[in-house]
Amino acid sequence: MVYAKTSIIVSFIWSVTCLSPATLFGQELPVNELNEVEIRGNRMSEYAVGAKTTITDSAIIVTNQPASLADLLNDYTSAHIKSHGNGMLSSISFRGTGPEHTAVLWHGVNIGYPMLGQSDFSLIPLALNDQLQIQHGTGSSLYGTGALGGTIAVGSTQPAKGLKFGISQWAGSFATFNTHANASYANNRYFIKLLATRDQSENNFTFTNTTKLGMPTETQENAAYERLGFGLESGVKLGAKGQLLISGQFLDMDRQVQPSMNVSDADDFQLDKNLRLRTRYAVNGSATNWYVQYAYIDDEINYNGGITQSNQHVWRSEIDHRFTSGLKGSLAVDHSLVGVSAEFYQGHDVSETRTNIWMSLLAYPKPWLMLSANLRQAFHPVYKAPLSPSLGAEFVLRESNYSTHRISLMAARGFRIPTLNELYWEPGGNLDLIPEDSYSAELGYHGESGEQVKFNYDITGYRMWVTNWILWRPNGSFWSPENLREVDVYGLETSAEITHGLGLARISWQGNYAYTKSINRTATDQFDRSVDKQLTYTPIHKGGLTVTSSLKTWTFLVNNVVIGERFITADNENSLPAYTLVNLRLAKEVRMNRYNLNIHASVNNLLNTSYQSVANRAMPGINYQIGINLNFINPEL
Amino acid sequence: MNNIKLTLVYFLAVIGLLSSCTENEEVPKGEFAQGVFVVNEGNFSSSNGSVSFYDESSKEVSQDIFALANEVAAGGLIQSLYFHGDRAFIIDNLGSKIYVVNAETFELIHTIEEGFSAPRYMTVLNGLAYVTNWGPYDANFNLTDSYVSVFDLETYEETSSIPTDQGSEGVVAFGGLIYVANANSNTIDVIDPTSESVVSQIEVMAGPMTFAEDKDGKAWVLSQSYDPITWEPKAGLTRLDLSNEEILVDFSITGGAKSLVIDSNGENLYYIANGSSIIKTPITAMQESSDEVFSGTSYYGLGIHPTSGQFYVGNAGDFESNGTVQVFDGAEQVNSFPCGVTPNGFVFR
Repeated sequence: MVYAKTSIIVSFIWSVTCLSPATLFGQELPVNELNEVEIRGNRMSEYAVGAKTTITDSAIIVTNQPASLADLLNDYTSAHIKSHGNGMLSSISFRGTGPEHTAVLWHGVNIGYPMLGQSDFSLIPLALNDQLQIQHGTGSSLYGTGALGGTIAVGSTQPAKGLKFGISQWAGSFATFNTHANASYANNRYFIKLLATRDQSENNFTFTNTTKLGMPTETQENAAYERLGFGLESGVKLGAKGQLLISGQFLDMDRQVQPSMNVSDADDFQLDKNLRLRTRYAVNGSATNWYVQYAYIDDEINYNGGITQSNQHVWRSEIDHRFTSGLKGSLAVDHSLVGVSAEFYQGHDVSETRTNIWMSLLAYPKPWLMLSANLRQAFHPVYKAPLSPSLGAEFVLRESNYSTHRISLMAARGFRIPTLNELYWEPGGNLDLIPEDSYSAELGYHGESGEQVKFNYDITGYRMWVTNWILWRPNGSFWSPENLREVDVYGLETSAEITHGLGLARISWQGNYAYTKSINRTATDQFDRSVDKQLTYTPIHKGGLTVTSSLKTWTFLVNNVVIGERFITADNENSLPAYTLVNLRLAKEVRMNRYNLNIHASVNNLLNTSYQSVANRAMPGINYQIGINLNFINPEL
Repeated sequence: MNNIKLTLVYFLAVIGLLSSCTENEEVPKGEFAQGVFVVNEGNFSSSNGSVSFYDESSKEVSQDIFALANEVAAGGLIQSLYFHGDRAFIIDNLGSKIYVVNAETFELIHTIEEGFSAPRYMTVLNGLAYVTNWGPYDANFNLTDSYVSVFDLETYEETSSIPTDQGSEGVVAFGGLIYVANANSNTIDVIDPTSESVVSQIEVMAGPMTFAEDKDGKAWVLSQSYDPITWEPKAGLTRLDLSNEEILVDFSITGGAKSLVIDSNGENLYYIANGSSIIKTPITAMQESSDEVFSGTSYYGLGIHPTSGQFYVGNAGDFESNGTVQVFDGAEQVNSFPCGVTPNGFVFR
């Protein structure tokens, strides 16, 4: 039954999980010239004026080291993660959009699976990605396709001068073991950093089976995983201004696919392999910077023995020039060749080319005013992509030694090109699809005040209208994607941080709350009850509070996240209840000359909350982890 | 009704129709003793299959009646529902199990967990239940191990497992034999319950799924397959004399077709064409009928009420929402009511 077969595959693909080039100019900084281009705030791109950016605190990344990006985003940010089980496929909903509407970038290259247009965040270990920047809202003019709800840049920081070694070992509940190692060396001429991670778990947690009479406590089966990853960051100065950068990541995840609670004898498995390489030659002048970059991305998914393999060659060049002290601009071009060898395409290999041209201007005509304008045009052989501009402004209302008040404004058009599956899947792939198209505007207020007691706060309201939203539906006999939906998204994001002393301790309170309405405005027929209803798996309310206290060499962190009700049917008649998670982290640092030893202890899900991220997929109750991390640092070598 | 006892399985409306004719009238006791049962498959990622119940006299709908009766949702993908005496059998394709419930209250009697792998439909003969199973997919998403599992209706123990051609789907008991439509091949397997094996095969158009019995006691089979290159659906209807395994009539249908049902007189066949229209075909037809009764969108399941003759159509909407049952009297829609996610069929009692 091809119909059912296809629907299973499509459902899997839906549940699992485009590629387009995007820039991350400003992240590539020459050795010893960090923060050279920082003007104000810590934006992902200096041209992203008016956009809200979240930089995750390094203390949070360090104390959550064994976790994947999925856990970190879920516990500490306003982005919502939908997990098909513990350590399983995890997709994102950012600002009320779908998993294909958040671009994930590595050195500016979109690393979402080109067949699916989305990333599985459980495949992004923090051990390889200690640098994390999140730009909220539409960023297509700067980052290309799929940057509607947000853009997440992952990667590893360039190492500090000297020699450094580090090794960590963690052990936790459900026979979970994490081993991480890193080594780096940097001097005035070159740097090299190597990272390795191995994370494995039996993942045999106990859970309450809510699909069985009497709701018995059962042990999760078929959910074990092993994740192996390597990372490389290196660079060498060539001449006075030139620099050659080479980076790589390789990830190999072998996991059993945690079944729905009502399945007792599952044996599905999935093997993911991701290889990412890029090399960049950059020239940094006093007024003009330029680079050429080539990246190669190779992804393979093996689901129960059926293999799909895709690769991407992405060439890019960008030039950035400062015209005057108050005006600069950039021009970039990006060309990629995306190919898939797929059994799911009935043995047909598919390849396509994509080209993007974009330019940016940044002006600060007054000390209190900053403006940016960006414009992108993508070219594709099958369809016409929309011209995507964005305009941003930031006004400083008041600025003194201890306080700043700013207003930011941004308007943008975003787009998402159809994925390879949406175009070429057999049967059902639809070559008549056009890119999804969005218009958005946002207004934000940011304040900072205080000296001894520091207070930062931020509130942003936004609205986005998405048209031609692609939806898979049975088209008579098999599933086929169509440009069907119009979605109206509006919401409010707010965050605040207070840092103060208490005796000898330093305490930081970081809170965030997101109100997200993501409303379907189209009816497929007169009986469609999903009109004017919230999209599925999109919480209207999500909030969190993280309290970090540090006293001398001790750090204690309490993280609390509340995820509101999520509808599981598009008509909003069925939902999963809201839940609260509390996580504790305790770390002690011991310094011995050039060595430093960190001892970690963690409690996850302290309240032993029984919850579901995806309907009928079990999640673990209270669980524990301990870790030890030894570093050697010699900055003088 | 013809005195040949032919129990039809693939499409549940027909089962309901037959059992209401052949069983003794009983005083309704349970909450769900009499009315229309809607089988809602659910979707794969949320595994939210369910059964809805429509009370025709009060016009009230109860959603997920298994959860109402047992305080836990069955979940899974509910492929089909089979009534036998005072019990109903709910087949969970995803969880590979069968919930045995009281036919009138839907209270759980037993869960049969052994012996199934992606079960589809069942029928009963001489105290034994015959359940078609697709078995697991191989690496290329092909079926290689489809079979019929046989269990005892009293002990719920599996008594045998009979390999079939791939995609064993609709199953009927006829003349002391079991007939299985193999949807991923082009055969109907004939199983002899005494030897517990396939004793012969009838070749039909590729993709046989559904049986319906007409007033002359002949069996109609709806097939659908796909062109391996263009993926165009290829469907067809075959009229069979099961007693001598002879093909009487055989014609193709353009486009896709599913959910074959027959009216209570056994004179006209109806199916869903391309998920959007209901086509009427008289049993005297020698070729494809173009007689469209009515049309709409997202049609996923079809039933004919045994007494009123009204059409019940399961409208699956966007397949992510709870569906709607549309009720038609001829071409005129007379009623509609909400049901669960992806309604694929009906049982009338």
